[in-house]
Amino acid sequence: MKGVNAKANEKARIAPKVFENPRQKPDSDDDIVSGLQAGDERALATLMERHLKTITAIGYYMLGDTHLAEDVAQTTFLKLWTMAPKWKPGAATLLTWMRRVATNDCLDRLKKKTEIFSDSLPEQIDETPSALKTLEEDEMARNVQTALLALPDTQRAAITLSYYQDVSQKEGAKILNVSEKAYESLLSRARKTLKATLSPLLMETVR
Amino acid sequence: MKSVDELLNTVKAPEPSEALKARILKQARTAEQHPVSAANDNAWIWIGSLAASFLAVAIIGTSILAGDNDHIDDDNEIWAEAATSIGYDDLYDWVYEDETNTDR
Repeated sequence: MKGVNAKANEKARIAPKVFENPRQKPDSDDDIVSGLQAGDERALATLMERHLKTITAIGYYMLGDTHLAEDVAQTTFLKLWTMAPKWKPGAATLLTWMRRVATNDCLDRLKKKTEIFSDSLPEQIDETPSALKTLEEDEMARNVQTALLALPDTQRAAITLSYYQDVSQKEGAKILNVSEKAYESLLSRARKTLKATLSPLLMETVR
Repeated sequence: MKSVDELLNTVKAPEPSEALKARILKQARTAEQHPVSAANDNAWIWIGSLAASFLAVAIIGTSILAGDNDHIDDDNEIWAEAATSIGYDDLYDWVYEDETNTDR
């Protein structure tokens, strides 16, 4: 019984206290907001531990380039850092805000630059069986990425958020600043295009 | 047969480099954070701008009214000058002259 109470107390201690509105989604980063606002670098380091990979991934799926993806992540984190004192908790979670900044940054870069070159270099061919399997997988991934990059920018953004970031339709719509219906339409059109483009790959395993 | 989701899963975003984190921290040290304004600043800005608008409207209104009066005075002067120049004085003289002759 004592153990149960101790556990409950521990849970209460860990549970964020700011969620008085039961409809409001808890922000897992509330514990570091005050640190960020005070200019504490440790808070920024913690935030990067939590979300650097997620934000860089948005850049990678949107732009198809590792260096550009890192630039997007850098811009996003620095923007958050400079804006932190003005941050008002409750409007959105830090992660949603960063996803929005990163997605908009990608869309801006795509508007400015019509062609983005991939930074992947041709590799030496290793012909061992496991290596061949890896090569096949790599080839498939490359084809899928090419199909992704061929999508219209906003459709790719919707796919990035829904499939690779696992955000809800509501949050995705909020990030792209469109209605939920419009977001749903973007996803549906993107799926349809991908299905058509990737149909040879989709059928491959049947053979 | 594979699904679109399965194919999408074949594309994996690479891990961000170690250097990226260090780079962001380095830039953060030199970047300035935007200070937060005092709590009631916004209200004072709002009241101040409203008061300034009222003052501007009052000044413009007063100057328009004053301008109208000047305009009326100017008009009277112009008409008086015009009447003199086209010979109203002569006309009056002639009428007075005529009346005097009739009396005779």
